[in-house]
Amino acid sequence: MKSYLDILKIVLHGRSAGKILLATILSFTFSIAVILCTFGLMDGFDHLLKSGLRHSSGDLLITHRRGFFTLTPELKDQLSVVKPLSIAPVIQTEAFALHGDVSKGVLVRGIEGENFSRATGLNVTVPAGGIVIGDELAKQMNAQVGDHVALTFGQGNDAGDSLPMIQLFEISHIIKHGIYQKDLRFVYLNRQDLGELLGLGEKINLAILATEKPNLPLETLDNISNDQKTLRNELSTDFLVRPFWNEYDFLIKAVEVEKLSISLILQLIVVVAVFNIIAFVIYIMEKKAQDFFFLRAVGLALSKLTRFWFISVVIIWSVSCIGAHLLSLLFDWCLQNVSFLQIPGEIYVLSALSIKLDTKAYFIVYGVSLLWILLAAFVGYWRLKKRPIIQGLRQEFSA
Amino acid sequence: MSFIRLENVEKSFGKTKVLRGLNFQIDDRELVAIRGASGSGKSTLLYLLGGLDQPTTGKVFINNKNLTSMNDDELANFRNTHVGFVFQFHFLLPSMTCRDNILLPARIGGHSTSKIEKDIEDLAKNLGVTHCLSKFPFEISGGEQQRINIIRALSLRPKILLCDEPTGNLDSKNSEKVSTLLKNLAADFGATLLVVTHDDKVASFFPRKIVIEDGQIIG
Repeated sequence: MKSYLDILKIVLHGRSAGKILLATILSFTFSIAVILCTFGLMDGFDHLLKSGLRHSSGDLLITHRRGFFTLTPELKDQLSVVKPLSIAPVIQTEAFALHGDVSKGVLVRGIEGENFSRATGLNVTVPAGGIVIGDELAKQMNAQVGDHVALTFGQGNDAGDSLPMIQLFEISHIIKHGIYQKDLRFVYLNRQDLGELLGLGEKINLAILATEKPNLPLETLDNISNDQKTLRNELSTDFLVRPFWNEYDFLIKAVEVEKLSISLILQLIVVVAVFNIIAFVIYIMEKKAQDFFFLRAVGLALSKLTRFWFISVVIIWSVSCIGAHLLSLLFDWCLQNVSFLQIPGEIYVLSALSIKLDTKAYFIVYGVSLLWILLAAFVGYWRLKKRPIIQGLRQEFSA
Repeated sequence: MSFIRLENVEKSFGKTKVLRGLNFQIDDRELVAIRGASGSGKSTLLYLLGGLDQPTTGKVFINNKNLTSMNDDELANFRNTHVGFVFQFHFLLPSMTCRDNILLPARIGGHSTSKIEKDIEDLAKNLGVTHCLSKFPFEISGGEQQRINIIRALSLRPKILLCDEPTGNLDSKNSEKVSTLLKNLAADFGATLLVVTHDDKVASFFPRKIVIEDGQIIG
């Protein structure tokens, strides 16, 4: 046949052929899209959780058993064994935030803006006298940039000094970590201001280390785990070294397990899609067998017909893959912009979900779907091939 | 030298022997009727001659080419360029106009359609179906469909014209018309004509008759 389109025109003749082809492509598209989106959600959750945690915790967190410590040159030397990209000294304390009628328990962090940004990848600039708060906290307190928030700090239990210390701060920025609880609880101050306010001087109670580039996704957690072990050996036993995922370790493990179990369940969707393709193949074989056998009778070689058949199948697959990709982009957009699709952060930890699909995920989903569709196509091809032309003509013409 | 030669051709479908040791020769441009009762094996013989099937044993030579040694691609090419088929059920593809249906073998074989357009016009005029060329098969009568079918079979000027019960659906008057038409066209195109029929009267229109019964030639 001079062109592929000539055979296609014959195959697609009839009211139902085009519709069934369209239905097959749509069903295959949706099936692939569901699988892609599920993988994307899992990977997106994993990615957002890790990047959200790194935005507040860097890669490694160093604390001291007795609470406060000083980041001395000797300590910095010890920390340098893991070649940190940045070290951010932090004072971290609890407080109450008051704005209008709303009060919230918050975790106040005294940071050095530039250092903290380098260590966590979160761009936070805290001007003197100002504070930066998470966007969930801002929403719940109905606070905006420029508003004043009162922070109430405890001062210990000694009778005369136990009265809380209250100070007003102006909100200079509202930021988003990506982790719901951090966006709800974290308030950032200038470390020097907080140190003076609490009479701590140069003392800190947390050092945040970046050992990997903060804004690049992590391929593996192994390097950070190794650095953690190195630091544990290097530092005295008074120091505690924790990786950034420490507080949500169970969630990261749960996602891994869920990915495996859901990928097994998703096989059902694949099977449904394959049934649709097989139905289409059977339909074509039943309805168009006359055409195929007649074309073969007047000189269409089986090799050409085979080429047409498999090219068609690959085109159906390609169109479905493109459609599935577009659907996954649409779903991702909806997840972030359609209110009823947005997840409750207090349950799902993250402030918002998004789909993240890497090359490996595409390769697996598209590759497996191609294998299935080729298998179904081969069944159709086999049915066509095994019948000699004469037998096919007689059966089809006498029908 | 004969144009078509069969040597000890047998054909079985499973345990059923349909053709039993056929040997015959047909000359170039000969006009032949293959006559036999239903189930005698005459259509099977026609399909073997057209390269649509292979014998179980024996050899089929067309113009000194052994069809039994050809692979599928070679047989497809042979069918396309050397054979014209006229089936009882003319099977015009309903998605195409009659002109496109006629051009189908040319397109399948990758031939230039512009070269054969004139032949088609002439044939259509000759057979009185010029007005049908731009119509779809369902828009024309059964008789017109049969004539379009014949034009399609002749479109690539085949060396052999094989007709399987071409008058099977026609009354005796029209059977005679079609038989005469096929004879004349085959002569005009220089083609060897083989017509399979169960009808003695139709067979009588052709100078040579091969009578087949139970897979054997009896006359």
